Amino acid sequence: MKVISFLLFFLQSTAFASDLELALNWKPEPEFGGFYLANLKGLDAKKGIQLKIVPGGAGQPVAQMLANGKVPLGIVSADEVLMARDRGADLVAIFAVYQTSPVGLMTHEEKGFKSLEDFFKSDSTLAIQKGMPAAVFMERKYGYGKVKVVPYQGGVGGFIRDKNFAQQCFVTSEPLLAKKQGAKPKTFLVSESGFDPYVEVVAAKGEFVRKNPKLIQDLVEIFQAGWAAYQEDFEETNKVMNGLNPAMTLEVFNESAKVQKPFVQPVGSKIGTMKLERWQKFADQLFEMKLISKKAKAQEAFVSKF
Amino acid sequence: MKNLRFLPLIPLILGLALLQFLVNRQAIPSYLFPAPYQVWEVLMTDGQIWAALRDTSLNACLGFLLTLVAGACLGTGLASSRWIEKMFYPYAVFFQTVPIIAIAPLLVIWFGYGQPTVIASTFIVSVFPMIAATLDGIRSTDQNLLDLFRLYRATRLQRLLKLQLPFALPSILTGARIASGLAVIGAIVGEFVGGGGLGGIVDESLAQQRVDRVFAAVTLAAGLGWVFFAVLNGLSRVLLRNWHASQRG
Repeated sequence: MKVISFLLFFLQSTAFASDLELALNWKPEPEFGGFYLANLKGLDAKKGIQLKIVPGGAGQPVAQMLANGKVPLGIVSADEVLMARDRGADLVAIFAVYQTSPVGLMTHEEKGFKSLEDFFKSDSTLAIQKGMPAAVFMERKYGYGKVKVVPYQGGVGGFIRDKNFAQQCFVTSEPLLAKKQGAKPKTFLVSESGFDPYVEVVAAKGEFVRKNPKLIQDLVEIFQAGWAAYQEDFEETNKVMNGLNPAMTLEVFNESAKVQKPFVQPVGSKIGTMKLERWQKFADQLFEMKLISKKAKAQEAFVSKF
Repeated sequence: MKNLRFLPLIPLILGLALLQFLVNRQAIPSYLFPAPYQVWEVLMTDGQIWAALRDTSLNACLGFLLTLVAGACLGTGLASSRWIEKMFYPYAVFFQTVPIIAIAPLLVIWFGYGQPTVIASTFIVSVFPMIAATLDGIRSTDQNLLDLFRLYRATRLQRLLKLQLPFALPSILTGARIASGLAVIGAIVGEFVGGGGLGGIVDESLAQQRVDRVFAAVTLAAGLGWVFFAVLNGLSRVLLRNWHASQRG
């Protein structure tokens, strides 16, 4: 009998202490710094939540994993949320890391491109994830012309080897790596061309969000506190993330955390918050680009009360 | 007995009907598994996917031809002496065990984007069964017949062309059939990194959460593998029908 009651107690206690998984769509890098800090400093535990951050990699289908209930929380981009909703999956965004999208194209300075328009008139090789909304946007706006589009593999190896090579990037990450390896990168933000979705968005299933308003409120507060602290002091967290992702040096980690500061919190904005006008704008853009089949009601795709 | 040819269609039709029913009843969400009708619609309306099939077919064919020629030559070379076999066979096995997904990004560095990488990937994945089957076929030549050729003082070349290769033919064709399916897989993996073709369509469609398009591309790839297999089956029948037990009856 004692054994059974012990087992029951054990099962109950493990159920209570169960981890809340947050699936990343990439390896540990400063773009996830605030989440790691919140976890390291126990900001989650203070609210009785045990976050478990699960690193991802290239091609990780986080949106589908969320939709299928494989993870409760995941990092996606706003356009992925809208596409998933269009396909019938009820995903809702609760927190946005970047207020301005750091997605851009990285070219070699020696090529002397002055704008994206200029670049798309060249005969460069461009490594980009085909089908990605930012890529579709640029193709529609500028046309690929003589630019040779090749699959995006991640990393900067191809860029370093070939002066005629350009690639998609987070301006907060790859250009720093390329510089370290002796290249002179020049970047162009896609947001400046008019496509600026929230990137690095924490999303969950709509049902989960609606059933757990207190938990969601707590999570957003944890993330806000974590990111505010990371903006102030990132070094200790970067050391831990660097241990998990040694492919990037600690120096690049720290530089990247510095460079991303204005993307996380532009002057006068509140960390993590999202605005309806912006959501509606890129929902309409996705519809125009035929990436979603019907006009989306953007207010249903994110939690706006924070 | 002729009607039995259509038996494989019964599980296919039942399976598709069941899937369509489950998706219609929303027992399976269509963003995880598309209804057969959605896939059919993509196949009927998406011109890009057929152009991609043409590219994949061409590259898989070229890679597979390279496999046939190189595999048969290498297999014959290895069979020519125990020494050569002992020396080089382990390296042939290397092709069998190399994790193509892991080295695929390197293929781009070695061969560049596009067709050369796709052909190389096709070759690497499919060549080993061809080498092994040729080697085994030649090695299993009937000893009595070899003795007979020796008795008549046949040259090495005569022995190879008139006895060993014909003897090995059924085995070589079996190797080619296995290699043909692998060739399509190799081409798709090559396209993931080299770009273009059905692999490119799968990559692009995953980024847009278009599982219907992914399945349409996968269906065409599977169909291509089936065509390869059917052609080789036909070829086996033509080449072996007059003398080999496997094609009688």
